[in-house]
Amino acid sequence: MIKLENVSYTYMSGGPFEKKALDGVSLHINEGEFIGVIGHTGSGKSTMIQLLNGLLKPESGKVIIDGQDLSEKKVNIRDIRFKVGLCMQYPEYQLFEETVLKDICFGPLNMGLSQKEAEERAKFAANMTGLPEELLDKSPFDLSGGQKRRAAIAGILAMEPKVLILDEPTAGLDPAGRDEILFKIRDMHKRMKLTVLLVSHSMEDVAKLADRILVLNGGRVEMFGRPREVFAQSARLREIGLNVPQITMAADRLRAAGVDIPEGIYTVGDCYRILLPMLT
Amino acid sequence: MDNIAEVRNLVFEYKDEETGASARVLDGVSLDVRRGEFLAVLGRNGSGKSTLAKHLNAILTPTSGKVTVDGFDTSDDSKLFDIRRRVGMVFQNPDNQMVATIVEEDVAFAPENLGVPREEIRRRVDEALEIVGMSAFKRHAPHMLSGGQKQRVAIAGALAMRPELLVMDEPTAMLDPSGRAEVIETVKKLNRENGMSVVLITHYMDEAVRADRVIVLDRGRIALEGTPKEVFPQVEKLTALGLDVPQAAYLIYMLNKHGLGLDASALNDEECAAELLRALESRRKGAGEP
Ligand SMILES: Nc1ncnc2c1ncn2[C@@H]1O[C@H](COP(=O)(O)OP(=O)(O)OP(=O)(O)O)[C@@H](O)[C@H]1O
Ligand SMILES: Nc1ncnc2c1ncn2[C@@H]1O[C@H](COP(=O)(O)OP(=O)(O)OP(=O)(O)O)[C@@H](O)[C@H]1O
Ligand SMILES: [Mg+2]
Ligand SMILES: [Mg+2]
Repeated sequence: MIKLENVSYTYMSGGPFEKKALDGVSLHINEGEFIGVIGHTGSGKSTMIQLLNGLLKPESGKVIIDGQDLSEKKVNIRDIRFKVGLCMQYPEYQLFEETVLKDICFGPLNMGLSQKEAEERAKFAANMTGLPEELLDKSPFDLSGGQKRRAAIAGILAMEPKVLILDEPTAGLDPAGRDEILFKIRDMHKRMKLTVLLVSHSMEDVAKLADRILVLNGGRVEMFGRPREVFAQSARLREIGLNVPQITMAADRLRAAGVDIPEGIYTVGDCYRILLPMLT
Repeated sequence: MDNIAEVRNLVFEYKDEETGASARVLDGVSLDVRRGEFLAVLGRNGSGKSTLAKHLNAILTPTSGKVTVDGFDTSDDSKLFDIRRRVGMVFQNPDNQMVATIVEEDVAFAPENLGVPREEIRRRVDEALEIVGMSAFKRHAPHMLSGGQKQRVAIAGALAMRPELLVMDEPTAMLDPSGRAEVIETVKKLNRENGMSVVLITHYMDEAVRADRVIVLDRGRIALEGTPKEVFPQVEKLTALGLDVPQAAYLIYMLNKHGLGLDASALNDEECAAELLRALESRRKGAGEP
């Protein structure tokens, strides 16, 4: 579904503040996979995902989406944007319409849907993200931070993309809202074979949801594997500004103290199931 | 005076200019921020946290009730300068806060406004950028930074003011795990060593655990208040308020459903592991003796 071949990207090439943000990234993501993307501040996560829907062009290398090489002239970037829905890191800035409802309808209308279809989709998407109906007529500027974020996510969901890319979607959401939205997205991913890339600084969230985890470090791929494999490397993760879920740290401590508990514990449920028989 | 800020019966309503309708967002909040205290404010989206924070440096003033900062009434316009020089703010969205075209000028903005001498400003700016690990970016334009880098610069800006009260509205929302830990460590250190009072708004429970005291807002009222050790064992209540608890605390809560009687005030991985080891040990002893 998504293929990067030796992709590099440099901001302000040739200038005094030249910054190589991506450096020879190659990877392959299958249709219907749920990928977690983690990496320290400035590691190139946002840069990478903007390459995936054509917002940025690679300086070298190839970006291939659903068999189409984005650098080819005949590729219509507009179509790619509809296929690859991207919710940016500060999506609050993508809100600009008079009302929240109009904002969420913007994408679907742009795709050529009728007003009626667009509104239906918008209401459905608002509901998915837990935005109360009465907020839909408000100005997006009068929402709280977390409410704005929900509106922005709803705007992308309403386009029903094949690939959904979310850049830190839960930053600023309350824990209940965070779980609710993430689980609904996982649900959609399962039901509709949606391919999802979730950029997150929450090791806990990524551990709960992702089939595979991509770890970026200084613009390169540091690891790309199953949560169990990635979170077994806690020392290396810490070295590069990341961590493991808190429950993994607790399990590591128990193992170090001689308790018979396997490596690669990364959810509370796993830990609970192992400990309960030992304690009862 | 023991309190750096006092909030009494604060009611706040946003007024819709066009329709004249008003929506009550804070509904009788009373709260002391003690001098030298590290207070965490939690609550679901829209519960009124940012609105409360904006009352602490007089960006907003009460519809009714009273807010004082170091004894100065925020509704008294002539005291605005006295209030603002005491309170450093880190807003929820760092982009709204960036005012200059170069990072170091941005960080210098608040102390310049306070009339701090040039040499002193330079020192403070360098120091603040060093603290947040952004010295290498000081000549950069803020809009060229990654999300987390912007957030670090916004924090540096508030630190360079050397405020008596630092109010931070979700300052770590976009930071990586080390960055988050560093910011919280820095704030704890300034709190402990310089006696800087801190109000931290966050959705990260593991950060709230580090505070001296926690309050939870719900629909514009204080729904829960206490030390982390008092608040976080109340898993069901917190869940009903749209919050959660650290994974360590949740594991213990789940195990305690089987009547294990573990100490529910274990809030981090270390305390959790220690408590589990203690329980395993006492069980082993119990089983070993006929
Ligand atoms: N518009 C820009 N101009 C110049 N440099 C930039 C620009 N945007 C990002 N950079 C730089 O490129 C590097 C990678 O940035 P990117 O935004 O991809 O990081 P990120 O992994 O998303 O970080 P974060 O977790 O903080 O959001 C950073 O060092 C950043 O300073
Ligand atoms: N400028 C405004 N005009 C009208 N209503 C507003 C305005 N700003 C916020 N509100 C409303 O006031 C309520 C409280 O908002 P506030 O920003 O204080 O919430 P919050 O607790 O900080 O939420 P979050 O966790 O999402 O940041 C929300 O319901 C919001 O919709
Ligand atoms: Mg980013
Ligand atoms: Mg807020």
